[in-house]
Amino acid sequence: MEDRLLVLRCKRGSAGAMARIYEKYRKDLLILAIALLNDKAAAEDIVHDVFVSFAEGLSGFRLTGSLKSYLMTCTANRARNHNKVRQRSDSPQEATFEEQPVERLVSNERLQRLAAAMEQLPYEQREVLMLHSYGGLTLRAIAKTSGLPANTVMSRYRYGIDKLRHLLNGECDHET
Amino acid sequence: MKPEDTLNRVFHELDVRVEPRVDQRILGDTLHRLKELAETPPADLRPMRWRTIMKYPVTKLAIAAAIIAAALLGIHFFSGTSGTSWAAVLDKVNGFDTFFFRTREVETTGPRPDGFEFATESESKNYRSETYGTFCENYKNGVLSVRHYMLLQEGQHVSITSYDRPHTLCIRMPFNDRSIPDFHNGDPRRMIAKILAGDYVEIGEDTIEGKRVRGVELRDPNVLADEGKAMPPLDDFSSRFWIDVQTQLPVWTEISLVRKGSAVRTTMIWDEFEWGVPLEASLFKPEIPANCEIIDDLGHGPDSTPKTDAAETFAQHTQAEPFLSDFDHLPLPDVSGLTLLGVDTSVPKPQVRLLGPDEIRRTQDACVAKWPPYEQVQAQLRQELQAKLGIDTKDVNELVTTGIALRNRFWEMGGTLSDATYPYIYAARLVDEIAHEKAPDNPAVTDQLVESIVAYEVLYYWQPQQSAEPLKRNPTYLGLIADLRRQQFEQFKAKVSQGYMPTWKDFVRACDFAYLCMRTDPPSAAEAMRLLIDLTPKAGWTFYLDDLTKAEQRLSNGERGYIVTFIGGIGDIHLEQYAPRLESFQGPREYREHRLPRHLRHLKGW
Repeated sequence: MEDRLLVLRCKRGSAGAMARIYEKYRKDLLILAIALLNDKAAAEDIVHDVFVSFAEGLSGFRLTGSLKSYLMTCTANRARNHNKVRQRSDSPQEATFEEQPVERLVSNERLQRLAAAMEQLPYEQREVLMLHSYGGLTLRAIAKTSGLPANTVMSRYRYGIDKLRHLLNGECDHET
Repeated sequence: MKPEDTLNRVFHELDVRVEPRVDQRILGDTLHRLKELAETPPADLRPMRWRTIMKYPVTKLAIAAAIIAAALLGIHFFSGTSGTSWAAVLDKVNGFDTFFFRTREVETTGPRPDGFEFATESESKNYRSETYGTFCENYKNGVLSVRHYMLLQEGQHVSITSYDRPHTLCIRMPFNDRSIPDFHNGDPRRMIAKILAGDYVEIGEDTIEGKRVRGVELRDPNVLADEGKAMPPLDDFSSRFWIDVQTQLPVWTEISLVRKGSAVRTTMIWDEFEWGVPLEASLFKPEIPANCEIIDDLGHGPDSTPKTDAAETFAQHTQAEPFLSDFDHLPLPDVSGLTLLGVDTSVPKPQVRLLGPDEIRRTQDACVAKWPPYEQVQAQLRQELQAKLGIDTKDVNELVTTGIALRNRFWEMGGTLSDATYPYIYAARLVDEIAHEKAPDNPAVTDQLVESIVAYEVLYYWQPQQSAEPLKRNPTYLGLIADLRRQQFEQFKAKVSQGYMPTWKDFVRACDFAYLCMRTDPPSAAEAMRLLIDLTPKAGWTFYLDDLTKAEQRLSNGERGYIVTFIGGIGDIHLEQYAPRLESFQGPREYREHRLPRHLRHLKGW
């Protein structure tokens, strides 16, 4: 209920409520975007656009489910579009923060490894994996928001998780 | 560990550190956009003001002509420009015998200069039948706390409370003629009727839960006041009422207000209406949990006493000054530059963002737990206070006023939400202890010592709302504070036997004493209640006589429970850090201003 209240207050123009929403979800969204794109600069831009768009669309916005799921889905949608543009331009990832003198986003080692492993997965599998395993969205909800059959989403998840487990095998073995 | 678990762990250990420049960019741009949009509301939400329209002579003439034409055609012109007949909406809802609705009350403060921001929310689901009565479930921060029934056929109120606690309580009361106003007050149609009877303006159309809605706004709070009563002073007020464009039935009603001088905005929302929904008789059969304690026939308690007469009599006897300290007329020493125990006093007030009572209490307990125990620093503190303030040579009044100044300093610096305030409250306790040693028979001095201890010791420690564990009570209350109140009670009894006229403070101390010993020493608690009952005609606290009598009966029967609730306050989330304490606890000024004895509350219009 806290999120509903925060949205209600944002609609009344409360900067404090918007700051609270940002503070609450910014890391989740940044992690999602980094894991999907393995590009911190793009991740920052995407989360920036998600929040600005959220503010712009508030007047007609009604929260019917979880705010976190909504923001996660928005982030994934924008990341997908970014990925399409990147593929079309076929340009190498040149603006990652690792190459910049001062990092604006510093991911922990886990996130770096995961993003690198994720990059070897088809984008569609990455998206389902992250939204489900990290974002907590149900596979049925992902199917609904992406307009795909539930079976397709489930198989993307299954293939994705198997491949990711294989890619992170060393780490998993180390853990066990 | 299973591979799935390992992968889950990988996902849950992902983290990213965000440089402030990123926050500045994203949040800065978002807030900038939010501000821009707030300054230019959509055209359809701008109120159509009659006064503005009528400013132009040509319009006046055109409208006059239109009114004549409308009257001839039988159109309800004044009911709005939308074609909605608002009076017909009311007629329509009054035709339903059953309906469901949800109510929510949200309290918020905006970001304040000290960095605090609070929000709390309660919600209730209401089922209403003109045949069977009402059934209401209250939720506090999402957890069921109370079920309340008003049963017309059985003629009974039933409240089952504390679902969120291990021990539930069921209170059954007769539903009689006096209850009828309560039944009607809970009907949202009554409020809708008041809004529509006021000088509202139409605010156009919007979408709520996918429905196209049309609304009106009311800015005059007095329209909603009960007949013959005024609304309390407010800094801001608005009320909006939305109906479904298609069905012409209410969808959403809200009242938002800020009390005068308050930092808290209270918003009440009525929504999720289901008009004419079938409600079975079984819904109005209370389900009483197996472990529930049942209390029957409590009646209306103190409300059955004529309030004004009793309160005025009592006020006359007690000088109507519930919190007047015997030392308020004395000047306080300046302790603002005082440094004690080497704790850095330049530490700013804690910049903590706390969202609700649970977080506030948890943070408070965590802070106090980090302080060194009082006994550990007592000797060093005494040396420092002697060196810096010369406490050994001060008289009782000087010691007590020093204690008050130190307590004030403690609250100014963040009280129990700070790691750096303990030297001040410990010092206050220490000087009050010395004063108490010098004047053990002066109950006003003992009050000061109790206040200094209660300032940082809570009655019971924070636990999760749904914890099945019994309350973790603070032993200081059952030991030291109960002993101090017992001393006062013995002194009180002795004075009464010599013809002493009791005061409000005696009442407060005796109720504290009964509360503190009702578990460990019920006969003494019952004795305190009996003494207060016997003194009622002389002291004038007739307002509380019913409560005192019931408490005495319960204690004599070996039952536990609350003794007498004598202080009430305006619910205010930012005051949560001052709970849970004794009812006699005075706290800082901002807290005292929100507290008043129940018998005097109506005099302030609360």
